[in-house]
Amino acid sequence: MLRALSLVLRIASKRNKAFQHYIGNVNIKIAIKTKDNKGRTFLFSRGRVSSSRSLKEYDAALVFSNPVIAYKVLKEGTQEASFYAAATGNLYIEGMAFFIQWFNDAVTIAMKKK
Amino acid sequence: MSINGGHLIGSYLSRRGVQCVFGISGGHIESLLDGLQHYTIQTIDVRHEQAAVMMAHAMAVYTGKPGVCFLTAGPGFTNGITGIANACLDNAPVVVLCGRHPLRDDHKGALQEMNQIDVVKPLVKWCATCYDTRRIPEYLDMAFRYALCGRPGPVFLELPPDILNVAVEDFEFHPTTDIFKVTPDSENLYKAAEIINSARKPLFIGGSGLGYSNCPLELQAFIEKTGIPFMLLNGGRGVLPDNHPLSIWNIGNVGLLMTLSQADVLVAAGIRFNWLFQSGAVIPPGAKVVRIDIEPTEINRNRKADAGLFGDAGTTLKALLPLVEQKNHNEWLTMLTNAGYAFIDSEIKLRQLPSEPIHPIRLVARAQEVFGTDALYVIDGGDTSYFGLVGFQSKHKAGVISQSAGLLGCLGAGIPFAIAAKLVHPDKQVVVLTGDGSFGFNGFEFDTAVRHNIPFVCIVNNDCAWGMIKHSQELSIGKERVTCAELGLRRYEKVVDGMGGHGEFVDSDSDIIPALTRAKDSGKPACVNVLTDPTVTSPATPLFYQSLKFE
Repeated sequence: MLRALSLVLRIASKRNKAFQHYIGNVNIKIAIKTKDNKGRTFLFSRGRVSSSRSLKEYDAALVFSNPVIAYKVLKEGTQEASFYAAATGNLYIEGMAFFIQWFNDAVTIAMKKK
Repeated sequence: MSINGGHLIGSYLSRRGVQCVFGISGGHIESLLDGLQHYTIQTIDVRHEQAAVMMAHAMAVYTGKPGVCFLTAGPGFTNGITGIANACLDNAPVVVLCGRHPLRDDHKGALQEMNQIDVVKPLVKWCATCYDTRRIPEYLDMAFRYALCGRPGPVFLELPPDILNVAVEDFEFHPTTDIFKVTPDSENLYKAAEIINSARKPLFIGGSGLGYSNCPLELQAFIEKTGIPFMLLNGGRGVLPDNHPLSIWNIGNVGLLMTLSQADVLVAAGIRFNWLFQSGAVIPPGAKVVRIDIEPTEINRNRKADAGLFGDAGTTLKALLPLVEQKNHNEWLTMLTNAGYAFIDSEIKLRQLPSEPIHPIRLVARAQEVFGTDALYVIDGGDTSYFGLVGFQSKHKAGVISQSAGLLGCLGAGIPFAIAAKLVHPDKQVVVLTGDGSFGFNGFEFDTAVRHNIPFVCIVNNDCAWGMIKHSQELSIGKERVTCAELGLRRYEKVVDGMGGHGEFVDSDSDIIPALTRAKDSGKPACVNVLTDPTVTSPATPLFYQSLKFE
């Protein structure tokens, strides 16, 4: 699922003007992972998007309690789903929450057809 | 018996109960200064007029009454402009008394001749030049009335020397101090109550409108009856203590934005939906909004209100009280608190663990340990504002405040605000947390504090840079192209020591508490210069960066 998300973001960075405008020249690394440290890092660098399985370096991370919860929340893709996962102890953030907010908004824009 | 214009001002201010004014002396306002002296009004003479206006602004914030300052003509006036603009955007009732070149010398090329009124007009609620000594009390009445009526704001009264210095037959006058409060119409009150009573996930946010309304009892009664979780911001912060069981300051700004996105009803009192709320875009489209404001044009600004209540915040809450139902939203409060903590998990850990180099949030946590919730905290800076606003808690009105986080984003107000805070609350500890960049603007006001024996502790969060700008540039144009953002390590505490204050330098975690304790115990204006991690970016920086991005 994370690889699919990576593909969506990469395509959006080439074709979606709203997404291109949104990510601008930002240099940010966002990880999505489980507590046992499995996941993917998304790299935004000067308008380009890539991803890596390495979880060594990132600005902020969404950390899920387990893969099932992660799948459910990411599939739903709403702030409400993230909120309830966090409220029930199934999700927390490492690093700055604003980066995660930024990332969530980027994903929302990427999902819209432009 | 005769009285001159300057003494008429002193007499008026004394009758009105003004105890303290701020400014710098000048030839054009000599009889005003003499009038202040004659009527034993305390004068705090500063080192830059910007600071005088900021101190008067702060007096208004801490007392709820108009602050008063005086400027001399020309450069004294222009130096004060930043402070006036800041008071304007902060809706602070500040009465600015200003000298002017003589009327007699208009258009002759007089010393410091300039059109001050046209310069200041867009920045004040009211401005005028007084042309008749006998009308000075009437003009002052107008000035105070405009400063206070409706939405407060700064006013400007220009007083030429050929009005100030002229003696007239003494006469009796009485300042008018009536305050007229507006209450919303009942139709909108019922509409608002219906929305509030049917809320499942409500949130209350309040701003400076609550602070100037001076309504702690009305707010407490409303919050505790409706059970609505709340966050108070700007000059409204501390109207109820940050540690009230229903306050969500424990999850900070991140928690606020997250909660806003989930709330089904938002009650906003005396607060503008400006850029800090992304001009209302952070409020979900489906949420119902109840808006209370003393300025009717604010009510539908940037977001249409489902119920708009035009009125004073306190009287409006009082009028709403019998219409709202007793509720308990503890389940919602627990949920949003848990989610909030999950979102600031890293920040909480950083507060608790020693860090080398020192993380700013850790510095704030240590300072909070030393000074507690009985202190007043003033924050000044970019990234520093974020760390201070989320890290400090106070039980006092305007107990945690930052002008740099306000609409003008005005750096440099920290030390002036601290001086005023100490004058209003001489029995409380006053603490400034400032960035090293911000310190440069009004750092010389330490001299003012030393001369007038006004002790406070100033903590410099020293990242050797204009941190927010530097990190913003790193995000946008790249680390290798950072421009005009580095400051280098400077020993600000030595400057303060040289002026007769107390200075401390800290570069390790274990020294923070001892240095702050020594500064507190010194009884002097003190500067604790703390070297912090220059790589740390606050969450406010990406928000700031995003708000200015145009492509």
